[in-house]
Amino acid sequence: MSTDSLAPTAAPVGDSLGRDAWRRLSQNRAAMASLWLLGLMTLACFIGPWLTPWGLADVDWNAFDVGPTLEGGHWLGTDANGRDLLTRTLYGGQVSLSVALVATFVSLIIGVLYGAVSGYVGGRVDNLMMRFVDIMYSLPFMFLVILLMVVFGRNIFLIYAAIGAVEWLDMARIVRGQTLALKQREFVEAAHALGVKDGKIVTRHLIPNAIGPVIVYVTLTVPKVILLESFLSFLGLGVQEPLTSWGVLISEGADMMQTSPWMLLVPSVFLALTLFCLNFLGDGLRDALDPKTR
Amino acid sequence: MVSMDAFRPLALAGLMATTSLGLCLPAADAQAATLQVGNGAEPSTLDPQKVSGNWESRITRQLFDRLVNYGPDGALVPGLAESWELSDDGRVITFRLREAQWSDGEPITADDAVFALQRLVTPATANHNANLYYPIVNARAINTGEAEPESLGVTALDSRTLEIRLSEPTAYFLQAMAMTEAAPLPRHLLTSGIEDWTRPGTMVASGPFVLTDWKPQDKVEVERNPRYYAADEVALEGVDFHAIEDTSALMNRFRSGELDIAYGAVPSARFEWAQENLSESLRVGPLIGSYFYMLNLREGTPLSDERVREALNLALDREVITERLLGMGQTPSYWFVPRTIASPTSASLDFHDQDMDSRRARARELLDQAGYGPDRPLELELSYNTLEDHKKIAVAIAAMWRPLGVEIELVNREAAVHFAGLRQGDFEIARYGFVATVNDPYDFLNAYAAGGSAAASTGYADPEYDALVEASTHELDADRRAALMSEAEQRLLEADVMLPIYDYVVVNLVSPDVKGWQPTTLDVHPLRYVSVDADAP
Repeated sequence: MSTDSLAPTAAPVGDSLGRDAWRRLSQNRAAMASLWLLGLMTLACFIGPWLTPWGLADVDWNAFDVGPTLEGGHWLGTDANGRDLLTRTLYGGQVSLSVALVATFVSLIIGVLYGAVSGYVGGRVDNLMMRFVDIMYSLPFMFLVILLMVVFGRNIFLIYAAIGAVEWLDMARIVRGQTLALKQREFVEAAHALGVKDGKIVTRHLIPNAIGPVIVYVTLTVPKVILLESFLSFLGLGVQEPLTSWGVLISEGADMMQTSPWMLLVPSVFLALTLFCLNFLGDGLRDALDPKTR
Repeated sequence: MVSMDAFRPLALAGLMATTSLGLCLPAADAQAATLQVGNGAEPSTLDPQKVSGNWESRITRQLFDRLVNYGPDGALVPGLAESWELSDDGRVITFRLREAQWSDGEPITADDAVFALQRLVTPATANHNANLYYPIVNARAINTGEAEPESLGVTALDSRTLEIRLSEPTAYFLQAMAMTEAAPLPRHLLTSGIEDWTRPGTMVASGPFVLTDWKPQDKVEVERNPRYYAADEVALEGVDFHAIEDTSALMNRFRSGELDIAYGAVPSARFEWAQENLSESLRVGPLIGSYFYMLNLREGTPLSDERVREALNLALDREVITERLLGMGQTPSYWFVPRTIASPTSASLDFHDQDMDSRRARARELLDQAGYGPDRPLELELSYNTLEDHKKIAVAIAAMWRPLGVEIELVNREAAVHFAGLRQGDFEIARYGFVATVNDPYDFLNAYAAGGSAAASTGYADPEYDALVEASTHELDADRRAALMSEAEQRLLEADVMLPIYDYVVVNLVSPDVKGWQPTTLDVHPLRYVSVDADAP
């Protein structure tokens, strides 16, 4: 729990929650390495395509389905259409990473606030808010996506919106459950007794204490979102050729793994590396943000 | 002609041996078997007069015998008719029907055949091959709504004699009678006011098999028809037609032994691998079919400008697609009618022997004249039904056009949606495959003639073309007929109404346990003659 609101004026200035967490995170080597790697990966995906000699849809008419080689300039090989796999994987990373980031961020913000408020206020409000979540749950996801497509046409931002609109529901339930347990605890009562406002109790006391499960859930959401996007693309509802994503590249590669294994390996390594890093980072963040482990 | 999703996996698959029930089964096979066939897309109907794809007609051909059937090698053999006679002037065909029953025990009569042919040309049926039957007296007038179906030149002389009167002698007519839409239909059932007569349990069959179950998106099950006139000769106990669209999935299921036959089940990327590892199952052969891109010619798209169409045609490098991209032995085509057909035509796109550089230069010039260029890119939508090889080809072609300043938006759609979109004219450039149902160039040319399926989709209308096609059907001299048809085809090509890509080859996987299955250039395989060696239980 944070101490700054309680600190007597004479005492040395306490660390803020954020600075404290950062200090602990930076001591965690695995998490820091992951953070760097993720940063690098993001940078590579968004800047890398400018540096490779090939474009997203450029076909090398002399190199269909060639394995990784240094000579032809296709360092990681080409796909069945003669397009440079490294370039396509980097472009695919743009789509996958941004879908993952946006959808997860949306689910985090909406889900956590919604769940915390619902749990803390309780009573009829809680009931109404959670029934709304139930209703959202009962909408078939595919239906929602197809409806969105009919209304707005084919657009990649729809995927962001559709996935984001669905993913916050789980988060809200988890946070509500945590809040229900936490609000009975002594430190919340103490805060009450000291006259801390409700809003502040939720943001300064309840949410930081619920952060453990939330972070764990976020690290699970990211791969889920990336897979969901590839599933939609597979059905023709997501990204369209020549644009691609890691999920699409992997599903194409899986069909060809007997004859052209690099087509599966390259995007898989990128995806797996990203997911590993996210898991380590999530682990580190949970340790760093948990007020109890101070 | 039938639309075909090239390489749509039709897997005749996994053979599931069932134990013998001790009935008098046909000679050699002690154990009767159910043949497992991977059949490509989910059928949208099993009404033989409403089907449009070969994944549908493959099923209906097993359920409904025609007066004239295909033999095991694809040649015409007597079906429900035991014999027929052509009058000396070639204008009257008299079919003598054999004694046969529907699967519910009702006799199959000449009236059933009359009923079916009348229904076939009725506008409400909307059969997309109806204009193949225009040679029948009054058929055209009925099909265009100008005459009553009863006036069709088809008469039942008695319960087992059928007379068909043609307005002109027609070379291919007997082949048209072997098509699934010409099958006699159970009149007693269709006129009984029943709502959907094609449901399992309701549908009655005249063919070797009868429909028993239809699980949407899973499989269509048929069983041996005990009332079939040659039921003793049918070796299979039944056939399951699995709806599996994805080529890779088909190939995998064939390899795991779930499927005995997989039609078109090899994606080009794994063709070499299959040649090495599945050589005893791989059956490759020519197929009379044309893979091409249909262009929507209606006003309002850039494609209504002939210069644009010619530029797209010029810049399409067909050899790259057949040799480097697919490599399965397809012939690059500069024509519409495949050269594998009996009595081929000689028409060809005129730039056929020019080199790519001068073709590209010419394409640039044409686009420039049409007002497109780097500042004003030509934007078009190219749609294809979801399948690995269709995507590969579309991506490659989009890349060939990009240097000319043509920006292609690729749209993949599920097969049923794609072909429905084509019928409604809702496309700009669309992938299509025509596979012959009649081994005659007319089958292809007719599609672009008035009333033909491609003419309806693309909005193509040219009275002179129609006249040439029409004239060719009445010409009985082979050379003059070929010249007329070539002239007609040349007209199509000069107007650049389509982008021909290649002539098909068919690649099927057939388990060595399957006997009596023969490759045919029409890709028809009557399962009546097929059996499986079912040693394993």
